[in-house]
Amino acid sequence: MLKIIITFLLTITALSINAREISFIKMIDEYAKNYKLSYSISPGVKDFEITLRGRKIDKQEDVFKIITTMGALNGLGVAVDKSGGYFKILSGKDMREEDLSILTDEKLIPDNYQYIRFIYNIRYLDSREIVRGLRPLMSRYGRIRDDGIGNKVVMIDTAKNILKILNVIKTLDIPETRKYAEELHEFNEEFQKLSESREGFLNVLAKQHALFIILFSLIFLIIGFMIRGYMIRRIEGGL
Amino acid sequence: MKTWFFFMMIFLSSIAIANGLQIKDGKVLPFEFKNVSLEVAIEEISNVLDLSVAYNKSDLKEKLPVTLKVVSAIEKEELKEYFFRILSMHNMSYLEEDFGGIIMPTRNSRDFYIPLYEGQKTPDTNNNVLSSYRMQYPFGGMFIRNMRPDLSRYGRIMDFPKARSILIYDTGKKIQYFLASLKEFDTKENFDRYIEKRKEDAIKESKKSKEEKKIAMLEDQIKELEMSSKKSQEINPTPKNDKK
Repeated sequence: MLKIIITFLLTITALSINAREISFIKMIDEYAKNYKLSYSISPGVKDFEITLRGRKIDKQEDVFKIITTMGALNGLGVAVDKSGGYFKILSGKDMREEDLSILTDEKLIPDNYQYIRFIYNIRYLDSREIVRGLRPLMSRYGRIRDDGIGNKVVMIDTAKNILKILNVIKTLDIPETRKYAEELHEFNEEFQKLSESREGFLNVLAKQHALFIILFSLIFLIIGFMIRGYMIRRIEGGL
Repeated sequence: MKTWFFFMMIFLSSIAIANGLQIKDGKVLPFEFKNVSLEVAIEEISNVLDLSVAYNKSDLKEKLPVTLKVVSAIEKEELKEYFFRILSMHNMSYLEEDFGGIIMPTRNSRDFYIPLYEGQKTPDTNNNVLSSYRMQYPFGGMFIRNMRPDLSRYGRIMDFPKARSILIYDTGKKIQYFLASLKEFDTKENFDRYIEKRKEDAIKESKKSKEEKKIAMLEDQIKELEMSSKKSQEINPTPKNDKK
């Protein structure tokens, strides 16, 4: 009996080495319990296993960072209530409909992957162009749009991904970009003008021959009548 | 007795593997991973570098074993680079955080925070980073068209013509190569050639009749369709024995 127990214990120890495996939902539950937070999980959320290795994580913000990152990695979103005492886990695609906290100050963006809504004023570039160009940098369920009037960009995405996009916007949106945009416009216009078709008279004549036959017939008819009139007058002695 | 001995061996070998990497005078001593599972390699390296690492259990389930031999003592930073290289060989990336990091498939890493570097300040790393480069002359579109095939599988290159900037997402080492190519490309001489070429093209275009332009446009569309059908065939090849 003792031999079986020892064998069983050794098997477990040998297989687990130093890794700590925990289910996502259990991790959330332990985190909420430790820091006295309320939470809810949407019915469609599927659980998955997380493996933790190396040094043990004990800071509250680090545990929450892992929860939000692993959530985002598995197509889930974390939304934190304005009070900070309640958070919910739901599918990433449902995030657009959520009442997310609206931020306009970059300094207030949390250092984790919870979902937020952020509004940013573009200063020099056209917000529509920024939106078009930065769409590939948004996360799977992130959204970016321009507000239509005020040259502002509205983003819904994970907080740290928004930070990444803001870094890119700040690199692009500098005073020199106005000068660059004007130069590019002039440059492209010049080539546009050069490439426009300038058809010669003979080409037009060849294509519209029926029209030209009618036109020339009319002209020669008028000229003919004028010559006839002139000749008659001359013969009759009017001139 | 035999079973007991077998499990005892497993237990002892796991301890031996876990103690493989050693540090002396702040340097990592020579070591070897011979057909070690990726998870064990991660465990080893994260212990030596004092990192906390998290990942999806399912992401590493079917990964091939790691073989790595380091013959001389190396700095911890260098070990980190070996770590990134091992991960990239398995199409995985490392997302650095204050506590350590998260390991994830490279195709997903684009959805997360990646540090942005300005041109030449891009680090020479095997991990993925984002880098921006401001062109001196406005012909970035041509550069990205030519260089796209050289990107890594999950790399990206974007052009922002009005800001005269190029944004590259790839490993730091790959970006270094792109930056070196950009330095050679973005010169007055090349820009003058580009203008000449565009002028020639524009004049050729102006001489075309409307019908000829339409034909050229249709030919381009046919080429694009052919290319896309070839690509889809490569992704979903038709079985050889599929006779109708």
